[in-house]
Amino acid sequence: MHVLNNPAHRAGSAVCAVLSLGLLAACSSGGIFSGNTPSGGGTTRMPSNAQDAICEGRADDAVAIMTKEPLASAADRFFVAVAMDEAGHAARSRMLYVNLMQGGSTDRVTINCGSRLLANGTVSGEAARRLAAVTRDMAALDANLRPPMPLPFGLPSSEPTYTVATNSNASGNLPTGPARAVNKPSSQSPLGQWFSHLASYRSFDHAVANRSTLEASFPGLKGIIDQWEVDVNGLAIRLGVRMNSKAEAEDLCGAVKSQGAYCAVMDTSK
Amino acid sequence: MVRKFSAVLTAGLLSTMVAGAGALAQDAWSYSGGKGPNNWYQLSPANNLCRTGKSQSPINIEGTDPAIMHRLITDYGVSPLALKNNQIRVDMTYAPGSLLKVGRKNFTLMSMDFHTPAEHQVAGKVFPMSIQFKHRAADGNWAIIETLVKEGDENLAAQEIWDHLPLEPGQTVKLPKVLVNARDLMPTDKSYYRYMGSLSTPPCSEGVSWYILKRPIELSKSQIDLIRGIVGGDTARPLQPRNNRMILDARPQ
Repeated sequence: MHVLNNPAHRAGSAVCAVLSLGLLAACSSGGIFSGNTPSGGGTTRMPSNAQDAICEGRADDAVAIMTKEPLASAADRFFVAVAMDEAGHAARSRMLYVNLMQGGSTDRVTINCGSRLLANGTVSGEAARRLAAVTRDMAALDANLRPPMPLPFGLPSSEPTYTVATNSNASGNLPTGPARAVNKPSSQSPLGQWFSHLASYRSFDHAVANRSTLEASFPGLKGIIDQWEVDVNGLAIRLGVRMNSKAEAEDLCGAVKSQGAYCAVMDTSK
Repeated sequence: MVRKFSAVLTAGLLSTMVAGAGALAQDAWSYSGGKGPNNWYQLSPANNLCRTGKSQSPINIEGTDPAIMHRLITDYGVSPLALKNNQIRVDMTYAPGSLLKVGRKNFTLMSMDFHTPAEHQVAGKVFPMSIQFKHRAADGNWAIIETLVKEGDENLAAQEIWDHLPLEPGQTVKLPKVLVNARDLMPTDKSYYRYMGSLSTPPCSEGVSWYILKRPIELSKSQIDLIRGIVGGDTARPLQPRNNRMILDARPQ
């Protein structure tokens, strides 16, 4: 009888399998980065408390740790994806891996659990490898991940054909509405504690698609709309502006709300 | 309820073809006491996974991930009634030839058994009963569908079986002319939760494909009480740790 492929073991073994040739010995004998061997220059390690949680089988804790703070970098998002993957949330991690692959980040990341090397390479490369592993596991659980089969056109209709007028200028984005005047906050910073929250989405696709809508609505915020990934009964991607000054965050929200749009000030340290 | 129980008792006794009171095959373990779930591993070396396994069943279904899944195609035929009260619970052996198809996988329905309360919980909710349909593939792998049961109206399909339940320990009932279809004990909507687990009884072998149907079926209180009363207690293994296993929430294709 086939024995269940434990996700944790699966992930580790998958990485080992992928890294086979040069790293085979390392994978089987404790991992190339086991012990105190430092990672190479420019490699981002998973925060130690999150890595410890994953290594100790508390991947849900790792998700909570990683999503406490805004996730600005591709490496951070990769770590969240791995934490979700290790916690058994395959579909959510799969979505993140796809997004990271498409982002093409060449930042280097490593996650090392001693005898298990969960990741060591570029964000996009590692995301691709883990995506393959998680897709294989989902397929084993009867997920139907194949693209839909093309269907034949069928018989032509004897009814008259109706045409619908279309707007050739439609871009496919949501209507942007009139541009609203707000000023760029002087204390805006990707590391700021205060977050003027403008919108939330359940998927990265929607967040990415609607960032430009927000920027069109608020031209003064173009280029500074940040995303903050949180676990609120599932992954939520918040779009907004981070800044150091609470007063400025409140001012920004005041300006946004005075023009009929939603905005709320949030403390990212909580 | 008492009157109904008596009627069922009479019907059951009259219809009994074999009453093998001495043939108590499955007495090596139980759901309580010294041979209960906490001690299954001590009863035989073959049961070691009951303690050491990391992918054990049942579990609480929560924290699921949505996914587009293959449909459960229950290509079941009818089967002559073949029930056994093995002291631990009531089982029905199913006639060969009934298939479960999931994507490219094929399993043969082997048996079904009744548990009170249901073994799996859904977001902490305990159902008073479940029916487990046990299938096996040609390579030996198990696939189990669990139908959750909630209290409600009398279930007429179940009643055809209930009229003949083996009430005595060790009793077997075989009625070739009474035909049942397992599909009648499943909801029409077969959307499901999916994870990899184990047999929920010794030897607790892992690698079992579990399909927990989301929609419960209804049985009346007296029908549920009867199945519980026959074995005189709970027939559910305690919940096991999830251990970060993937649980998929099947969305229609």
